[in-house]
Formats: sequence, structure tokens, C-alpha cells
Amino acid sequence: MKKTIIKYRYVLTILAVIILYSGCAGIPARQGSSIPVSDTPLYYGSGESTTQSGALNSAKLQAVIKAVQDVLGTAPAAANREKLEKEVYGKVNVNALVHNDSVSILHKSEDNGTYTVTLGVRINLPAVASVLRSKQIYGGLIQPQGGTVVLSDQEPPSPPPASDTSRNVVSTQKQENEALPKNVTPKQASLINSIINNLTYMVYYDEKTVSNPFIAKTAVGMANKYLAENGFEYVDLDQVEQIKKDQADAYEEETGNSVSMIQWIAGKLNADIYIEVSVDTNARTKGGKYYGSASVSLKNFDASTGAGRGTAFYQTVPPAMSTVSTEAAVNNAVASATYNAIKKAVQQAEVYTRKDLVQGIKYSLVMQNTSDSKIMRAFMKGVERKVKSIRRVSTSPEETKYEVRLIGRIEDLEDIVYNVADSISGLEGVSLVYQRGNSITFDTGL
Amino acid sequence: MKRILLVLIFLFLGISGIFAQEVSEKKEIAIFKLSYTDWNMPNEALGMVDQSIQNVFINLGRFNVIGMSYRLKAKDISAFTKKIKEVKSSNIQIPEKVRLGEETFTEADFNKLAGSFIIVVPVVTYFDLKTNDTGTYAAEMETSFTFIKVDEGRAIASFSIKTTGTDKTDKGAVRNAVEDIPLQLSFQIRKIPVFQLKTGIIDIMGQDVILELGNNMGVKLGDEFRIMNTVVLPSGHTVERSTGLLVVKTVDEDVSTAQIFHASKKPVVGDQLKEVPRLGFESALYVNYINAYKPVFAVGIRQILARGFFSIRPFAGAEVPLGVKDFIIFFPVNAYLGGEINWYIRRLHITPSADIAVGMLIPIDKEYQDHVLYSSLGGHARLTVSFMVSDSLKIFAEGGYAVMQSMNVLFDSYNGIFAGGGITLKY
Repeated sequence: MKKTIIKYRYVLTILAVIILYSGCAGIPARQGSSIPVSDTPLYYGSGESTTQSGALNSAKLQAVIKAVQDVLGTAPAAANREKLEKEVYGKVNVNALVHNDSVSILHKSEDNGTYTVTLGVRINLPAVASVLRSKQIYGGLIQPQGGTVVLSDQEPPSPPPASDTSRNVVSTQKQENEALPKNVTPKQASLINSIINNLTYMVYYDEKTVSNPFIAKTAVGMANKYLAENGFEYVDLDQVEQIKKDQADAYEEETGNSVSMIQWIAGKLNADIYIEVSVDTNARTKGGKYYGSASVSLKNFDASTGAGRGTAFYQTVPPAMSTVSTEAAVNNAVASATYNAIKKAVQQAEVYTRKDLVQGIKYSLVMQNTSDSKIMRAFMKGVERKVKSIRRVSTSPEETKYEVRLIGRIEDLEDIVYNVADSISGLEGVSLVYQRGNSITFDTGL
Repeated sequence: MKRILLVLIFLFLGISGIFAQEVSEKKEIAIFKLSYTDWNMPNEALGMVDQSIQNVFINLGRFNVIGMSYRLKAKDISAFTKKIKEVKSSNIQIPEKVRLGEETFTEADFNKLAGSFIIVVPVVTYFDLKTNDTGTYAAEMETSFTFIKVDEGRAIASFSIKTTGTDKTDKGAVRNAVEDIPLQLSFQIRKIPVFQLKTGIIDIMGQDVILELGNNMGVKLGDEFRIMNTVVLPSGHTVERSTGLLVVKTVDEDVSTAQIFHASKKPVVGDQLKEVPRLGFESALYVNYINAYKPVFAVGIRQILARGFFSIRPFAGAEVPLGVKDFIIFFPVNAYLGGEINWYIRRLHITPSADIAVGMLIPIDKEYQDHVLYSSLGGHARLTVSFMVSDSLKIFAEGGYAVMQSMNVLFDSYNGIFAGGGITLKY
């Protein structure tokens, strides 16, 4: 039963989509005319350094990073983070990526030898695009074949400057949609992206491979740290352990051990993806120095079905070193290995989930009083034309159950049912009985 | 939104340190004791050279000189390096990303941090002390310097300095040779790219710009900085071009004020600046026509001290007045010492100057070799107008009044207005 209940998260997601759509109903119009776009958009950034020039550079760099985020899209920018850091931000003089003569300093201060600068600067988007293409970093507006790259000006930051979260809605919308197949409508794409962006993760360790509780907590802690830093929703380890401790009996009662305890807890805590961490460690001492290595494997699972969503692996080569103890070296190895592996694990989870969602969100449709099989067949054909897929799970004169896949909200499914019923003689009296999560039940009125 | 913000903050925090390299920071340097091979060099001379080298690195201001207490005890470079590494190892600051568990701290990282300094190895490669027939001593020495980046175990620069000194005593000759080392050494060090100052414009005040770095990093009056502009080519490659030249006119502790000598586009806050290493001199080569009772052509060279000075600069010069008399035994040379005031209007420089001169007659005939005669006293007052053709070359025209009053029957006095021109080389 628990498995089939739609999670609150989806409801929240749907609400978010409604808000997004109501707020951005005019996106195409904005792109077309209302918001002026250019290849020198004005962006804002704040920077800190022990030198004033350093703070200026950092602020300009932050503005460039925001622009790169906007031209690439969040996911490609996150996926290429290391490459961007090493080959773009760390290598190319930031002055080459901005129009330095457009710098407008909004705030400048010095506190205890640390300078802080907030400024606005026009980004040299052709230069940014050339650098990204030369490093083979693609995504969003940056495509291998070239093309015009334009963005609109950012809104000036409201004080305090650090709270600025504005971004270019027009371009971001475009980039995320481009990651999806062409037969997906913009509305559907938004829904999918919204779900992807709001996935909830639960990380736990594999008790068979991780016997050391300290190592286990380090690994899970680092994974959660990455999720937290990158704005992913996640379930805290303490919550998992609390449920595991308090509700062992309930687990047996509800599942009869048919699903794993972790999957059951993930469902209980409304996680979409649960990740099992396996760790193998080695330690040695040589010449007064301590060495530790770790092989970390992160297995992703869909929390509702238990289906695999990929495995990420990371090994610390060369080993971590400490001058203090082998424990310190091993701990550093486990932490860094997990931190690196979780990045890949999250990417895998997003790719799998996106692929899954393109097939439609799974809903359970139940029609009560289905004694007329001809009418019900016509009803099924009618619905089939308006959803991704529909499959009859069971049927009886009292009740027919369908599994429907639709890229849309459950309200959209409700509308489809009413529309189809109106077109079929005898089904005009269809009415909603109840809806819970991803399950919706109607009475045919037959 | 929250997610995007966090990603941005994280990215920003993660890389904000990278661009600190755009403003030079003090580099840790350890100077190994001076060594020599087989040269019969007085111990005092060795000590002087060693001290002189240390002083250069300390006075340059851009280095933290470390390992001073081990440099003389260490038997060889390896032992010296090991000792400094040991000390640094016990004070290693573990990088933030390692402390946060995001990165693995490997032995390579450890060695990099422990070896994050540069060792300078000075070696006297040649030394000679001679006396000539007149009993004057002449010392000649060549000192080589090798800079080793310890964490990478490779030499990043190497050069030799040749110096000479003469004196009536052997010690004096050696001292004179040693005293020549600092100027050349300082220049050679500043020529090494990794040690060149990089900074940025932090304010614009009228025609002047304020740049970060001052006394704290050894910036001096007259130091020059190029404005660097990085351009991204359509291929994604970047090229760096100089778009202007600034000259430091005042130096404070952390900042300096510089005047724009030329700029192809208006300098703005945040522009990248790179030091132009120069020895700190300008040499003006000129020919002047002096409209005296008997016309005189003066061919000469004026050496202007540029580093450490801006508007008011001292100079010394020497010229040969041709046409004063037909000289067979002696050759006339005027040596002069003076000062100039400069008004810089971008590339155009207007410079009134004055000097006092002593005329000498240098014997041509060997028979009179030891008889240098003081022939005249006088001076010049002039106005020079120069134009910077390039960062290192100026052309100029000048005019003024010259007086040389004879003190010797072998020399005829002359005075009159003069006009001429020449070129100035900056180095």
C-alpha cells in the first residue's frame, strides 16, 4: 500500500509547477520581446580577498560563474564543475570574460584585512562561449555547432548582496527543455525538470560491508554534505537510524520482509532515491607517516520500486596520508572518496529518473461500477489517446483498475477522465470518489 | 532557487582563491650559503658577497626569506632543503577542502606544501685579483645564481653576474666588485617572470591610477607597470596584450599612485598590471651644436637615474666638445652632474635641467698617460622635450645655454646657446 501512495513531494512538485506556470505564463513572450537580451548582459557578483584587486577579481568571477550557469544550465554546469574550475575559472584571466570598462562597484568594504566588493559588470558572452566550446563544455545555449548566445540583464542585487538569487529564467527554461526529447512539450518538460530538481535522497550504509560505525557515519555524512551544499533534498542519517531502531516491528508487519528495510524506511520518509554506501578500506604505516585508502561504491535505487538506478564507484589513488594516525588517513580517504562518488551517483539518479519520467508519471486509476465492458473499453480507448500509456491491471463488474502514465498532474488526469466520460454515452454521470497521492478513484454512475 | 544559490556559493568559495594570483604575494625563498670551487678567494670577500646577496633579497621586499638559521650550518643543499622542509612540515596548514573532507590529502600534497619554497644557490664561478704596473688592484668575479622550486624539484631560473672593481688595495678592489652585485642581482631577479609583480588598478583619481602594492612589496618610484588586456580568440585561446604604460609617482605602504604614460584605451578599475623590470636607468645619447665664438659640437651621453625617482631625477653625463681646439696629445671630455625636473604629459615629456661640469683633457699619447688635466669649469642649463616612441625609447630635442670656462692654456673657453637632439634608451 505504502509503495503505491504518491509522495507528498510530488504534490509539492505539482504545486511548484503551477506556481512556475502562473508566474511564467508569458515565458515565450518574454523571450520574444519584453526582456531585452544581448551578448553583453549585466551580471552581479560579490568577492572577498585579502587584497582589493583579489576581491574585485573574485566579484567579477562570481558574475561570470552565474552567467556560465545560465548559459549552460544547472545540470551541465554542475557536471562540468571540476573542468570549469580548472580550465576556465582557474586558467582564463577573468578580465577576458567581462567588459572591464563596464564595472560598476556597488559596495566596497574592508574588515580586518579582508576586502569585500560587490559589483555589476557586463559579461563578454562571445568570449565565454568561445572558451567553453574550446574546452568542450556544452549544454544549454552552448552547442558544438556554435550559435548566438544571449542573456538578459540580471536584476540588481537587493541588500544584503549575498542574498541575490536571481537568474535568467528565459535562458534556464530553454536549457533544461533542451535536455529532453523533442516530443516532450514545454509544459511537460517543466514538470519533469521540476520533479528532477526536487528529488529527495536518502543515503545509508550497507551494513554487510561497513562494520565500523565511525567510517559509516563519515561516508553517509559526506554524501549528505554534498547533497546539502548543492541544494538537494535529503533525509538525515539520524532520522533513518531512529526509524530503524523504533519501527523494526512495524517493518515486519507491513512488509513481511518483502522489501529491504532501507527501502521501507526510504518510503516512510518520502525519499525518491535511496543510496547504499559500501566501503572497503586499507591502512598502512611507513616512515613515520600513515596512509589510508578507500574504495567506495554507491548504489542508487528507486525508493518506490527498489529498481536500481546505477552504481558510482570511487577509489582513492594515491592513498590519503596523515602525520597523525592511520585512522585520520583512512577517514580522509573515505570522506573524499564518498564526496566524489556521490556527485556521480546523483547524476546517475537524475538521468535514470528523467528517462523514466519521459515515459510519464505513473498513476493508478480506479473506476468503480464497471459492469458494462463495452463502455469501459471505449473509455479506455478514449483515455489512451490523451496519455502516454494506459494498462488495465484488473477488471470486474465492481471495479476496473488501470495503470496510467502521463506527463502531467493528477488534476490533468482527472480532467482527462471527465472529458472522455462526457464523450461516451452512459458515462456522463462519472464522479470523483477519492484521490490519494498518485491514486484516483471514480464512480462511473452506471 | 535555493539549489542554484548553493551551487553558486559553493563554486565561488571553491575557486575564489585562484584569482588571488593576479595580485602578487610574498614568496618564500631560502638562500643557500655562497659556495665556490678552487678560486683563491679571501674569506672576507666571500662573507661580503654572501651578505650582499642576502641584502638584495631582503630589500626587494617581495620575498619572505626563510631558513636563515640553518643556511650556514647545512653541509649541502640537500641537507638545507631537508631541514627547511622539516620545519615547514610541522607547521603545515592542511587545505580547507581536505579539512572539509572533500579532497584526499596525499603524500604529493604533503610534499608540495612542505616544499613550497624556492632555494637560491649562489656560486662564485670565477674570481681573479690582479695588480697592474701602477700597483692598482683589479678584481673580477662572476657569480651564478640558480633558483630551484623545491616542490617540483626543478630549476626555474639561472643567471650569472659579472662584476669588476679596481682600487689601490686588494680589499678595496674586491669591495668595489662586490658592491656592483646588488644592482645587477636585483634587476635579474625582477626579470624572472615568477617574481615579477602583478597587481591591479583599484582606483582612478583624475589622470592618476591607484594600484595595489606599495612599500610592502618593494615598489619604488619610477617603477613601470604595463596594463595587460587578455583577449579570447574565437578559437577559445587567450592572448595577452599590453595596452598601456604606467609609472609610479608616489609609494605608500600598501598602494602606489601611478601616472599614465600612454594607454590605447582608458584604464579602468580592475585592469591587470604587470611590472616592467628595468635596471632603473635612462641613457640619453645626443649631439648638440653650441653657437660659441668658435662653434662647438658636443657629442655626449647622459645617464639618468630613473628607479627611485619620478619628477626630479639626478643625472651624470660626459660629452666630447669637438671643435674647441685641434687636439693631438689630449682629448677633451666634459663630465657633469645635475638634476632635472620632469613634466609628463602622456608620451610627451618636458624636462628643464641644469648641471655643473668639469672639463678634462685625457692624454692620447702614452707618454702622458698619467697626466689627466682639468681644463675647464662650467655647466649647462637646458630644456628637453622628448617623445616616447615606445616603452623603451624616446626621441628628444633640446636647447639651452652652455658655459665652459678655461682653467688651462691647452683649452679655449666657450659659451653660447645650444640646440640639438638625440635618443633616450630606457633599461
